[in-house]
Amino acid sequence: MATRLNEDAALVGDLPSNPLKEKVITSWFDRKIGTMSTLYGNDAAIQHARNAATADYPDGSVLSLVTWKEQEDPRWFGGKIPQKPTSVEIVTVHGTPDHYVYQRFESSPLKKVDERSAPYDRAAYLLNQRAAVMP
Amino acid sequence: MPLPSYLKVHPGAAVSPSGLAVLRTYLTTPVPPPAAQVAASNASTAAAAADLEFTDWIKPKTSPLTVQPEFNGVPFTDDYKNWRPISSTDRFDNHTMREILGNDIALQAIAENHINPWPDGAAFAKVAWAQAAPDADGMVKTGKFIQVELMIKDAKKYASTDGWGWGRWRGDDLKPYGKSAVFQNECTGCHEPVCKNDFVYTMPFSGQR
Repeated sequence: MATRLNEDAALVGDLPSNPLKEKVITSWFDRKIGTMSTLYGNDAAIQHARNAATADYPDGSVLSLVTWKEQEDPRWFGGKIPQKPTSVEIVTVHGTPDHYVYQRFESSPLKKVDERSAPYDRAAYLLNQRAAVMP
Repeated sequence: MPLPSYLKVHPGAAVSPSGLAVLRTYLTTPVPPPAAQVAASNASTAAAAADLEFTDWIKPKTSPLTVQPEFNGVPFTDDYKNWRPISSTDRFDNHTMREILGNDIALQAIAENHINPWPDGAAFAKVAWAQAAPDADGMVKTGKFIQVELMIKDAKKYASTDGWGWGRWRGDDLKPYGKSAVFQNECTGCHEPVCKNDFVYTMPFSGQR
């Protein structure tokens, strides 16, 4: 297996900010549809997530969730790694803690999509995720 | 699978495609869960332990955690958690999940596609958590922190261990994994199959810059 980048997993498209420049808050898998997601945060978001158990992120926090389709790891039988991204979701906190903007991007290349239902519910879901412990 | 040299002498040992498919299905089918009651009780114990760990972690600290270097002398670096993502893995074989992070030199190497060999100073952290029991929506979230492993490239300094300094720190007190420097034979042994990838398993995604 020659050395190479995982080119499929790159985020190609028109995103207002680059989630992969940020730091990890936490991650999860969706067993029903076979995807893996990582939630990233900018410095303001990280500072909050790693020191509080609440969803009231401070002004200027940006949280981004990248979801990839999973693929078998060609180098480790029994593991899965990211394949193509299926969506990117970005929550930007403005002013008070419960004033935020939710944006969603899908398909390849990633394009902004209109929210079909309850974007505030989805944003609240992301803001309520607990950070993974990193001692 | 039998080695080609073995097959020459014992052609009957060849594994047929249908036999291989049986093996594959057997190995990739998740183990049936224990009885519902036992599973629920295990899951709630694990969840309680993870809750406790998180609550403790976010408490304001008067002083940073003191972490010993590994037994081969490889130092721990507290900054690993601020490195940037280069991949993640769903290790369904051992019920863990990992984030793989890279330092600035590693990210620069990825940007330049200069990853075989990786440049001196490149470093990776592989952070592992238990997989929590699936929630009501079938989502598997991070459970308890298990360990962080570091690989630090220095072709000269670490020449005797394939050019990398290896370390593993376990538990929320980050106790070095080794009992003596011999532990690093485990690291190099396990990474030997990827010797042609400069001993790195991770196939990084790019675009961090």
